Amino acid sequence: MVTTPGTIQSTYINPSDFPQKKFQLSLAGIHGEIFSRGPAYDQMTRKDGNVQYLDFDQWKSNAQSLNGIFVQGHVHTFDVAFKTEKWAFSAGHAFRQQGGVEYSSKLIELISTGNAPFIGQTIGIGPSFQYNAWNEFYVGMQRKSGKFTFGIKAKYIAGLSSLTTEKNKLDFTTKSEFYQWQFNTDYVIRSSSAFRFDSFDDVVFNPVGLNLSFDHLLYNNTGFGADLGLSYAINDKLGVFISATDIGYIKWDFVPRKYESKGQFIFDGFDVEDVITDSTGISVTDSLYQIFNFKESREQFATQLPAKFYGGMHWNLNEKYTLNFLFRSDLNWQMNTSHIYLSGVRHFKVADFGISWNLRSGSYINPGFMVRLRFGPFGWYACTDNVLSLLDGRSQQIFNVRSGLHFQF
Amino acid sequence: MILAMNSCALFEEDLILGSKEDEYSVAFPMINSRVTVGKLASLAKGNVSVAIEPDGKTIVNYNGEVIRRTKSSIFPPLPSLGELSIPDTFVNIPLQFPNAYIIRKAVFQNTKLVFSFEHTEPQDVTIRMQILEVSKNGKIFEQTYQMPYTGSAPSKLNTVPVSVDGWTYQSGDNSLTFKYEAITKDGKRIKLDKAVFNYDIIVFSYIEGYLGYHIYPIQGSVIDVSLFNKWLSGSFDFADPKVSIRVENAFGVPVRSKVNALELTSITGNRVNLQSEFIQKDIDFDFPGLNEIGQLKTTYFAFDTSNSNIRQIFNEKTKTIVYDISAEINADRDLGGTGFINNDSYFTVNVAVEVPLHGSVKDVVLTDTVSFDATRFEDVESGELKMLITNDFPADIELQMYMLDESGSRIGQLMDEGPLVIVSPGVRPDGRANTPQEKVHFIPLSASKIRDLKQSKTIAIVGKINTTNSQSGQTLWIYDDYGMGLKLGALVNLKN
Repeated sequence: MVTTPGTIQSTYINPSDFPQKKFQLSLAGIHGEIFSRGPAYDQMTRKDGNVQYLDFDQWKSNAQSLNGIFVQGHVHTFDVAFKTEKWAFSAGHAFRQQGGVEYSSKLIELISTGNAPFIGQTIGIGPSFQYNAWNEFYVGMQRKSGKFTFGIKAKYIAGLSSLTTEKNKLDFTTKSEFYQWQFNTDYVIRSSSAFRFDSFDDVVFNPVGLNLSFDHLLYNNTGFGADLGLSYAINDKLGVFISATDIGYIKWDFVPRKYESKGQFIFDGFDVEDVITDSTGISVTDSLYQIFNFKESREQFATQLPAKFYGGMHWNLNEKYTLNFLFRSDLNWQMNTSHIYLSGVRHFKVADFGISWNLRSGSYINPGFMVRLRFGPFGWYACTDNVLSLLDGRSQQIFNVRSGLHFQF
Repeated sequence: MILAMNSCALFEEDLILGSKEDEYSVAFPMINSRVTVGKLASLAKGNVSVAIEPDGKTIVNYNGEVIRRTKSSIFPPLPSLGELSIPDTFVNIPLQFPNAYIIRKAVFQNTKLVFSFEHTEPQDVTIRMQILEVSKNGKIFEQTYQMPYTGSAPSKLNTVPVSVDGWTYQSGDNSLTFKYEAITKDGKRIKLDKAVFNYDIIVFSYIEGYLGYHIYPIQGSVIDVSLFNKWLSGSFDFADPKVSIRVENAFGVPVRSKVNALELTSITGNRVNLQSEFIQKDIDFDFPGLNEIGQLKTTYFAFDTSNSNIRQIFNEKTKTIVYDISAEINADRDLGGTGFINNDSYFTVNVAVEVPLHGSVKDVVLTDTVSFDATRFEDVESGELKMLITNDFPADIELQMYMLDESGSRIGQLMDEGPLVIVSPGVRPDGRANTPQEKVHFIPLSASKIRDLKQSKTIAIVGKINTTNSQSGQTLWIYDDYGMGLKLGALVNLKN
């Protein structure tokens, strides 16, 4: 986005980016991303013949102490903007969802090797996860004042579906006496529409997926958010900006389920008397479910929007070349990551081509690519933060793509 | 875009949880249990029950069939024998009761009486009917009936059934005396042309008198004694086994029992008759008197070491006991005797084998086989069992498990280095076992042993038991707080 200044798309990261044209319309913008903070797909799996195996040994050896897999997908159905000499106004809608799971290397090690190597030890294995889907409607405004431009977007949020671990302490001990399993838990799962959990054999996860939905619009799961930005033109060729996006929250009140397990629980085998007298049979999963003693209740909860903070610079070297710099910091649930982008764009008469380098926490080799085609007032753009993931997604930690259409005059 | 689509396609293959070379080892608890004799006693079912004496001593009972008789078996409901004619204004009619009953007093229940009358008087007639043996609160049963003249003769009346529930019948000769007055409208006393009496059924809630002679043979009943079923070798010596007869009697009539024969069959098929002075001898059981109505009298008799040779033959591994016993009511047929029964009356005869767990066990080897599902071990390559055992019993126990194939041939044994030895905690001077210590045992499951297990169809469990000081013949009691504690965990190495 930083490579396409003056477009509506660039306001996704910098709400103070003043439009170049008087009227702009953007349609069908998409943004998809998969990021593994830890091993890449190839480092978790192994191919044997025509079958791809989930290989926990390999996964374990490539895992960091804390790992995560995060997925997000946004559809910007439309954005519209017009400007005067000093003012600009915009509005739009987006359908957004994002999710992720964070897990410790001990969990993978446990799955990989079993618990025998951990006899007498306590390991933290509680995964945390989050999934949110929502519709977002915004109106925006920009104001030029000398070399400064200020921009703001106010967002109305209609939540569709949510699942989040509010607490995820799950310590597992295999006692050395006769291998009793001891769990210390402080685990809280919150859900609205996304998740139901009646037993370990009856877990339902129901994400929205690709089904564009307007459930709960105006009735439930409402939230509010804002994007803010400030740009400064140092001279005709050089500009800088700072911005913050997705500052806000969603309050989930549609069937808000809360599952909580707290305390110390021990599974120490079966009592012979129970085995003798229980005519219905003994179930290990039932026993574990009873041990964890998950309590279900209904309680409203709130989740924060995935806030991001940016600082950037544009340097128009000449009519043919532009250099861009962008720093980005995410405060997104467990995914508190930082990014640095460096990009250069070559401008042609009907097209722009750019290359970039993306440094992200834990992932440093991410060459990017951008193309933008212009046919009069019509334009199409596509970019990726890591072109290698398009060539061989298995080996990359980041898979990322953005694309969209725009019309401006 | 094409590149992106290509990249997405790379992830569309099936993903399967992986095969890998490294060892996968799971350690898990299997059993954490302490089973005591008292706890097992509460779980006993079938013909076995366990009694705990106040001091905790344990007695195992193998119960035979319980014979139970209620009032209806002594005096079943008596159906109508048809209309009984009342030929005159004062007449005594005998009642026919079965089994030479002499009903001296009885209280009706669910019984209704009806009468039919006929006369040729051309006027209204009033009839007052009395039954002199039936009364309630000192008042004799009496009913008055109106027979209005309808213009034609003869006049007939079938009365509505009248209940005599709660009315008392008292007689010395099983008869009913009917007395009636039939008075015309103009005051003339007449004799009816026809008067008959009937009832639907006679049921008494209480009967007093001579209630007949009854005999209930209890033949061929078998008590299955499973105590020795798993015996392979060695000797038991239970100090005081018994065959008991317990009669609970709420009938107010004498019950006499006679034991015709008691035959014990050993697990090897050897049959021996019990020798006792009480075989073929009448045993009278207690019964409540007329001033003890509602009370239950219990009489207990046992063939034990004091009056029979039961200890010798029972300890030869008795498998079944066949008994031939009869129970007689009014065995003396004393017609002058007065007994009673009521709705709540019953008597039961319960024959049981009682084995106080007091004795000694010497080199006894027991065995049992259990089917084995090898598919559970499909992914297991090797492992180890860890057992923490606490033994309260004053006995040394050796355990071994043998793996058998389809033909029953031995493939191998679970404990390579010999049987698992669970030692006795020893005995205090008062005969009680010492406080036991928890002992840890490991049973390695090597790859070859796992292979043997996978081929097994059945597992034979062989246990050898010696009670403490059994060599010197010391007999010991088993108390209800004795038990065995087992904590069992497994560590298994799995393949993928």
